Amino acid sequence: MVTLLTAEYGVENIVKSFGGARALSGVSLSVKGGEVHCIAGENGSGKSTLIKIMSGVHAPDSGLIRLGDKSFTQLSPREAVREGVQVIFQDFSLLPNLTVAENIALPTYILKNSRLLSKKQTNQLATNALDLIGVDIDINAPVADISIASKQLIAIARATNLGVKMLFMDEPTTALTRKEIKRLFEVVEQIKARGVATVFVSHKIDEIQEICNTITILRNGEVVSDGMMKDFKRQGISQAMTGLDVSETRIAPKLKKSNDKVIEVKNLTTKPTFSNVSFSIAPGEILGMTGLLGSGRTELAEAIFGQYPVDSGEVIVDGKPIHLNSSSAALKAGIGYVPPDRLTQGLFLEQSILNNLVAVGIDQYQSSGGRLAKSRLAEAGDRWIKDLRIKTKNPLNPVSSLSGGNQQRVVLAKWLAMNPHLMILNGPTVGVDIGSKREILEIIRDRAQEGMSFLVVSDDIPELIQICHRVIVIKNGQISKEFSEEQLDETVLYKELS
Amino acid sequence: MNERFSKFNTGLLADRKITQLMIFTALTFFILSYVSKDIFFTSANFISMSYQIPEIAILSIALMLSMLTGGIDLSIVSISNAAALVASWVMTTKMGDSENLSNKWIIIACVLGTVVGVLAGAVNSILIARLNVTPILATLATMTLFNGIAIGMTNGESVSGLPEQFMRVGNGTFFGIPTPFVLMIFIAIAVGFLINRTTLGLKVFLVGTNRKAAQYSVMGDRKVIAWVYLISGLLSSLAGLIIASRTSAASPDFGSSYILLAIVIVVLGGVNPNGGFGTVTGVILATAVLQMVASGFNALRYSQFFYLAAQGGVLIFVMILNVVLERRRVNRSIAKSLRS
Repeated sequence: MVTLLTAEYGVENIVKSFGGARALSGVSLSVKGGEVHCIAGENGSGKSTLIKIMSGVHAPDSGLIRLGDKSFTQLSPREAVREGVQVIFQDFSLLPNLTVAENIALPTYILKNSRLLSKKQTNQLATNALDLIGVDIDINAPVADISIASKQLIAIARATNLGVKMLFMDEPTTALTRKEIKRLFEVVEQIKARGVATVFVSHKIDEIQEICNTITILRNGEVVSDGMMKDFKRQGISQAMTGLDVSETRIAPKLKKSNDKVIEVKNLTTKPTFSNVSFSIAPGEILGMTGLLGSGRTELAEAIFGQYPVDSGEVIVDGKPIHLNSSSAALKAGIGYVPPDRLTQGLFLEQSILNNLVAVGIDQYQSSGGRLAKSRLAEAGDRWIKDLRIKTKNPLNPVSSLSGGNQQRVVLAKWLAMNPHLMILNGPTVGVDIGSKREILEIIRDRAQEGMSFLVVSDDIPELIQICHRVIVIKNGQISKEFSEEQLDETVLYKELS
Repeated sequence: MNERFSKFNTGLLADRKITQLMIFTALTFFILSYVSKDIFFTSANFISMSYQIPEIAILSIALMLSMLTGGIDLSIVSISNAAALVASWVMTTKMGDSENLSNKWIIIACVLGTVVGVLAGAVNSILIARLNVTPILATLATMTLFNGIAIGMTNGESVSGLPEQFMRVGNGTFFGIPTPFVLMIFIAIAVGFLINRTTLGLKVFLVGTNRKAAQYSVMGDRKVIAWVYLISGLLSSLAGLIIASRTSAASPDFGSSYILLAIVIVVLGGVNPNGGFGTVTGVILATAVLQMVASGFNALRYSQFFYLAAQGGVLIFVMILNVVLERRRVNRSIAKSLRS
């Protein structure tokens, strides 16, 4: 135990390039056993490349990986596991069709190369692992049936079974309530006491300040700052991450008092996902909607847009009830929707930027006999590229060649082109760098000033406070609370969430 | 400005594929002409090829459409035979014992044949677009169904003895060019226009690239897919009529190996089997390559069985090549996005 506690894990001078572009340039980091370390950084800062190098997915171009008193120039995934490096990804990588016990035990069998499974041994392995971290979960339940918080604990139990010495947790708290986060932190304290070096990857500054002892901040593949957690201030962390002095001041435009309603949602119900949800949005108003993962917030947004089934209730746009369960009816009524997952739902990745820009309402570009009016199409493309400042040399390049922020602008533009009355944005700035984020929020603000209404679904509380006139919190499929402009406060909102 | 956008659906990637394919075609041509000067490089051989290419090219174009949406239509050959049988049956019944038939009835017979194609396509459309059956299973089922109906109705026998005028279409020339070849060019241009110059065409590429994103973009993805299988049925029936006219017969089991050949051609022609990318030009070039290889094998007196093996080999080679090129492209684009 004593040796474990003094052992150090980490990397020295790691360089990694992908086809000539540097992802990591000389990154060093060291975590002691029994320490909780935080890696903070924006998207594209090299966080995930670093994790992939330590877990054997990528081989570094140069540099050393140190695990206790051994060093490696590179690791294979199997070696990484054997040496005690474990990663818990955001989706936990569990097999939903297997039971809790099977999920915990399976990797152990694989590591030992044993081909025969025994039910008794499986249960034994699972019980031991769960006891070790002090958790009580029914080991015979299928993983598909248990809560997200429990899944996370199972992933931790599985890791401890494999003799974990260094545990990476990628955004572990995204889907958890405040109570569950507390429970998770207790478990982290347990494994910390056993001498495991734990690495938290997170952007929730409150939480990392609470649990982490040390911190490394990455930007553009380099360590910009590191040290003891207690020496860092909140503002300092985000400034180091972005390299900018980012202001989080409110930019929501002033809302004219009016009794007009662009949209009224009345008693929208689909059991058990959401029930009796009612709200309305005024012209030019930006309404925020938040809730934990699995609270029903995404389903609600998609229900209004006709992509999620509605059992009962009404959606009234400009005084007329619209046909539910139909996206084309929603589109016709003037509702637009930017889905949460840009890569799989928002974009036609391999297609050109231009084709992506015009993907909604292609029929507008029809001249006689179904012919495509290519010159009008090209004009529209050029206009949107200019309007939203999409950085590209050629609109015919595939949209996958753009950065996250520019890709998100493409998705936004394709809907803005329809000039909707109500634009629903689900996670509008997920995976977007801080500069682009600011610009996207400004685009929202400008359109709202022109009278477009917005429903912004997000779990980024500071962002909601920055841009919204009003925020509703969804809990278990119902509106648990509504916050008016004056009541918007980060601490209060976080508290209501969990 | 317009010129910049003229090649716009298919993008730069497909253009590169066409160039590769043209080089490949030319190479095949020169190698075969060189090794078999007296049999392959003869006008008789070229004339015979230009009668054989059109039917398989049209079937391949039909198949390309469904593959552009990320699906597949295995029933094209069955549809083609069914259409040919119906048209032939109408003609022979109307002819009775006489040698000739009025043009009016020939046209009616052909129209009925295409109606059969469209109806069969509609069955596929309903299964795939409406009932969400996986395309490969839906069309496997309809392939067997249409084929079974055809065999049942004809007792497995072929219908032959079609009227003179009808045969003249499949065996004649139009300004010196074999009529089927002219028809093929016409169909290729029409389909090229459809996919590159119409809103439906653009939707086909987008649906094929990402069906989910198409749903979220409210472009009526089901309607797009329904159209594709309908048109696939229509084109298949046209191929069937050309075959009947060339061979003066229609039979329920004609060209059973054509479906595999068509898949080889479409993939060789640069159509992405996952959907979203492909060109008519590519498919036509690929047809030419394979037909030349087939003729070359004949000319060199290699057995037909080796030709089958060569087809399989070509398919495997092209797919490996695609995977390798794709990996290189992905690596490059990762590098690019990191650099920016």
